[in-house]
Amino acid sequence: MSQSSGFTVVAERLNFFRYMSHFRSVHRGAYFAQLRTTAVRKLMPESWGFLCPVHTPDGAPCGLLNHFAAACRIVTWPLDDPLATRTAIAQVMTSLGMIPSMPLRPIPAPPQYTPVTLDGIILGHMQTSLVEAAVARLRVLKTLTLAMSEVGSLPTGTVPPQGPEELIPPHMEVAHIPYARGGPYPGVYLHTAPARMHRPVTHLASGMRELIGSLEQSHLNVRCPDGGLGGSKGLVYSHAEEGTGAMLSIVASLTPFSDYNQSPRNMYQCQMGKQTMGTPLQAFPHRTDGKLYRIMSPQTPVARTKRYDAYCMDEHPNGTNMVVAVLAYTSYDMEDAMILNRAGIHRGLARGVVYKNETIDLRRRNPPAYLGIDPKPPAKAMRGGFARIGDAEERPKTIFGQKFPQNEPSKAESAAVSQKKVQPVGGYADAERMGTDGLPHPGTVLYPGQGYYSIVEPISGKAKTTVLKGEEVVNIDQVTLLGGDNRWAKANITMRIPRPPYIGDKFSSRHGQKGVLSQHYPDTDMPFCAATGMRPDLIINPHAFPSRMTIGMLLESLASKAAVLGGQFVNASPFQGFDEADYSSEAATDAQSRARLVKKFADQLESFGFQRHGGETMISGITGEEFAADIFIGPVYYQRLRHMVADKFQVRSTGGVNAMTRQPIKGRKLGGGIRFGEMERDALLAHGAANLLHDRLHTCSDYSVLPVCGRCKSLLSPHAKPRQRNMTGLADFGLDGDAGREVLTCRSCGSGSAIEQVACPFIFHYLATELAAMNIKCNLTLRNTPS
Amino acid sequence: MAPANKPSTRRTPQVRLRNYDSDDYCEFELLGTDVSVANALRRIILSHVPTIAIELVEIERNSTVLNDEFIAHRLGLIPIVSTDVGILTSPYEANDDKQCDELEYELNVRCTGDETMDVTSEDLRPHNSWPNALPVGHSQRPQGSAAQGNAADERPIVIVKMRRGQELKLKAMARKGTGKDHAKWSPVATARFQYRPDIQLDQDALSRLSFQEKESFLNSIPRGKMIFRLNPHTSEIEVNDAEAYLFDRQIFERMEEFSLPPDAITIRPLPDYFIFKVEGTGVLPCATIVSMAIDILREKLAVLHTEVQNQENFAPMLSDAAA
Repeated sequence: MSQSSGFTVVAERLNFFRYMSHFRSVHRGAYFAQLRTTAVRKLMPESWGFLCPVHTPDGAPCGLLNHFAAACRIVTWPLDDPLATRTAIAQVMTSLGMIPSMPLRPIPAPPQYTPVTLDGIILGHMQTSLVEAAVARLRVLKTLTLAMSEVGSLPTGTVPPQGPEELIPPHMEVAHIPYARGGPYPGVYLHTAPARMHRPVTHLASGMRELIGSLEQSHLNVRCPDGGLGGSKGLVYSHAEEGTGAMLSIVASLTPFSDYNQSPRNMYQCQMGKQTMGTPLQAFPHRTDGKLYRIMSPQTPVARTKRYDAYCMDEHPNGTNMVVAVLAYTSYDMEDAMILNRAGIHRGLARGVVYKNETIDLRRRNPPAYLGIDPKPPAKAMRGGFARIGDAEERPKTIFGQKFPQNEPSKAESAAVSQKKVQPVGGYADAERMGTDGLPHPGTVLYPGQGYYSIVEPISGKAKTTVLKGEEVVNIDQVTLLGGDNRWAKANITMRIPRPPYIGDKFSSRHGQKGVLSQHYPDTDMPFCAATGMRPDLIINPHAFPSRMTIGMLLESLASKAAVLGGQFVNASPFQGFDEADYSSEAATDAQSRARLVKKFADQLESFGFQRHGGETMISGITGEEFAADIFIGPVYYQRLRHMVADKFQVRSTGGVNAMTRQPIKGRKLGGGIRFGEMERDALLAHGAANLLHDRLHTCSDYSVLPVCGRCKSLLSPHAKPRQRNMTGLADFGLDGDAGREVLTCRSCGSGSAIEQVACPFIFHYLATELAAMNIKCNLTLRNTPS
Repeated sequence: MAPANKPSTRRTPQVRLRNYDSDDYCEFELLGTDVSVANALRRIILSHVPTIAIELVEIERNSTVLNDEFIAHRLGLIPIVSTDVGILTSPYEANDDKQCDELEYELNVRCTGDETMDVTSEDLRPHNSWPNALPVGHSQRPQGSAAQGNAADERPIVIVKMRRGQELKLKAMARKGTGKDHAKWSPVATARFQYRPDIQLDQDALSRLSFQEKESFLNSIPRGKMIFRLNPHTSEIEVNDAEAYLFDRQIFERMEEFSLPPDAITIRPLPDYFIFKVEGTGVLPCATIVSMAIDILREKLAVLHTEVQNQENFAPMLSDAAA
């Protein structure tokens, strides 16, 4: 194996989809990622039903990082008594006509005889004519032992397994490869070892459940409910899938009406479902994860698949049902932007919270330190601490001048003072936010730059306060202390950052339709339904549909609308209607079954007095006039994705520069800029925007005024030296104004008379220095210098 | 479907009350005026009629499962009976003489039982001289209060649920405000108007259809049997309830299917006939909301009028108009 890393991944708890998927995924290996052939990435017949064809990332790891189908299980444990089981299998096989292998006795070659192997060991051989019956018997035994282990009893009328038959493992893979010219080597290959995939299908001969493996599957005829007659005439099925969604992974099977979507959209949804700000867990008060996302008023989807209920996804809800109108309105919904109703946001729609955790590990400090405050307040804190009550001027102010709404220190008569002996205000720095234990009060609102915990170095007795970094206001959620023996070893400070939907935040429906919030539109300006007065929560552009063909989303809207009017949930499982379809004929075609489904919802809508296909007459909220066209409107379940502007915005007017080049630094955290690169330069040149180009590349970058000696034509020779004191003694009386001030002198000609100030990029100075190091002189001819 | 012909400039707007069974719902017709007036009225109802809502919350103790700002947000959304809103001063209206009115509430609950406890708007204790400003559905509602409702179907609003040992203690401050600032101050669930359809039938064209065909034609239209009726004596289609028609296209599609000429049925919205439906939240009776909205609209027009008159540039135009 050429791989030395990547054998473990961190199980991220971004939301429950992601957490769950981490335990249901397999990677083919880093080696195959570089391989040019795409054969390894393909979904082969033996993978059908084991690996999900939908749930794989797009791009480089496509088909290499796979997820198990929902029903697929892995044998993770070796047999309890392998020897006894193998002996039993050998006995059963012998009873079915196998001639056990013996030393010095060669196995006769196929096709008259078929070898039998168990976990790669040759057990013996049997007459080919007997193989089919033997394999059939083994399958029956598998179904029986499976029923015994799953249900505990057998259906009435079945003969229970006898003696060694009882030991046949239900997950045993019975792959019978018949003789075929040019085909794989024939044989009966039995597998009982761990690390195999298996999945349940219906064994048609007995009508019972059987677990099949991937090699086994390639040589079986498994009927798919929506597969009709299977394409080849006279094909006799031995097994049947347990349902239409058998091939899908858990995440893929949660997409409503996914069979109506263009296939890549379902793949995108599998990715985006795992990036959603949802409910990763329920024990928030007991967790100290570094970062947790949480949606505050989640809802259960109206349109849901059967698997949604089967997997109890309501325990970890992931989004909100939004009333979505599909129309081009105000042009703020162009190019996948979306307009949210401001009133909805005010009422808590799609509101999220990020929990961040800061761990203070006192044991790792050398010399050891403890939590606490500086007993002697610094001069600054004296002013800030004692004068705090009533002295509003001491509070930090924003750039616009308004005060931060500070937590008022609890008053002397408050319950906290009498019961908990908390001092109302301390004579130390940050007393408003921090207790005498050096830790913040839960519930405190904290602004960037404010101190929130403090650690004392025992040797010096000085306290060091840590200030909040970043640019967001946080709430202190809780403080947890760990340790014993009268000494705290660790402290966890959980901070809560409220994240209401903000312009630039990303949202997505469950159909791979993502969009960026572009406006909080006033409720009064939103269009409203003439019949009901309903204003949409969300407006998306109709252009999002023709090229992407996410009909599932339209159907979800239609189905949800009908369901909501009836006060019910709606089954949005993919491939509906095929489970009950008549297999004996091709009559139940795709189109017919689909038309039936749409008709059902349309009839429901009509019975509630709405238009059949989800359209409604709407009136513009701005003018009060009716729209010429009917607007498609209905509830769609929307997910809020974790990509938020608050984490990503980058803006700079002035800030840090690189010491060597004096050009702006890069990096969001450091307050750096975004590179204005060559292609951007080309664009401005093409526009002839010379002034803007000069502004970007020079004025806002490393503009500097450098002294050049016109006589020596050198950029490097002028240097500053202090002006010499004259001998008049005036300096002693402070009358020599220029004394001590620096004066520019050229090193090579010893005079400053020809020095001129030249504005140029500082990087040119750097270039001149580098050239000088190579003994190349850079001559600068100044136009107005007397030569 | 824009109004086809313009209404005359000379108007005598009329209001006809249609349905006012409870204070929470009213339906009226607005006639003889333009869309601009109807829409202005709708917009003012939604976002300019002032109400009372909790604005500031000071949390002293909170050991519930919901965090501070979430509880504060929930408190803000509780509808508070706002019949006194007319005599209150909002922060925007406050000046040196008039102070902004602040209505205080207190909440102090601790769960001591083993069962899950609901903290509701009932636990919110008013702490001021505004006895009417109680949460909607509060059992302490004073007699003779304008907001009358059936107390049986009004249950207090759940703020948070608690288990044993959890505690919530806070002070809340309500202020007067409008829906323009925050949706919590909006006095209505929805306020809307719709156009009244004017349906003209061309009986000659319709007579192409037999009685049975007419029946199946009506059946194929959404609400067809409500909009139209089939006269069994004359076997003609007659308009039954024009308002049941919602301006959808399907009727015209059906007409094509039944090979009727496009002018067999002509429908246009009446340009000066609006049906208003206002659904209140209980903070104010709908009648009050509408009359307050009209007052606000009038006030806004008065402000505009004085501004226009004060502008010298407008003076000649105004005198022209008068002449």
